[in-house]
Amino acid sequence: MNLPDKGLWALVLDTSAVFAWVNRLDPDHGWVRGQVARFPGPLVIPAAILAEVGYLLEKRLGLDPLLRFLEDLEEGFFLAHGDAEALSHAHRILLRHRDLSLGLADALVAATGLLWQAPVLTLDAHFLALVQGEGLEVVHPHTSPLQTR
Amino acid sequence: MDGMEKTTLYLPQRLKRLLEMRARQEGRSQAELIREAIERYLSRPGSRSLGAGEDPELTGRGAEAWLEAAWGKEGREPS
Repeated sequence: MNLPDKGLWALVLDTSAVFAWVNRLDPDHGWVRGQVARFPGPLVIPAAILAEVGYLLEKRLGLDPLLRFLEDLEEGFFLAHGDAEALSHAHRILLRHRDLSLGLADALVAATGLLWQAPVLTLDAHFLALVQGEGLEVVHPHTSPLQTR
Repeated sequence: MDGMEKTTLYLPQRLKRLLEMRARQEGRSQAELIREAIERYLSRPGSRSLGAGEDPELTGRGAEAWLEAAWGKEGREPS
């Protein structure tokens, strides 16, 4: 597969991680910031979750933080990625893990992590169930309690 | 090597194993991958969105449950 950028030391972020990144009052803000600093490669956000991220940022934090987030995407701090292969992976994950009630957004996040061979940074414990079943690497406060700033 | 300065660094075992594995996969040297990672890190632009907003009530851990409630689905306990 020809990724837009090599996945060397890349990190995939889900909605919970992005929200904690932008919300400076989030108790996990420092932890998320510290984890992001550990990964020098691309900070990948599945393009398909941008709508829910945008909705959350605007409704809870306001338009200006949303616009700053979009600037980060345009300037390359974050990289939006999505393609048919990610969708196929997500489809397979949803079929294999019906009992987890993941939803399409979480399945796409996991699929993106598998495609990039990159860990998923998340505050959502549901992803931990995919560590064994899918071989997904997850960076979550339960798995990486240190490295706060 | 021209234009290069030798340096020594210590890596956690886990990171060293990942580095060895990735170097084998890509047929590149570990030193080359380390140089590339450092270049990427140093060239990453600053974030404009980091800490750009304040919400004292909702956290990242509760974001999914909030979204589900906001979109009229059955709520799920925040993890």
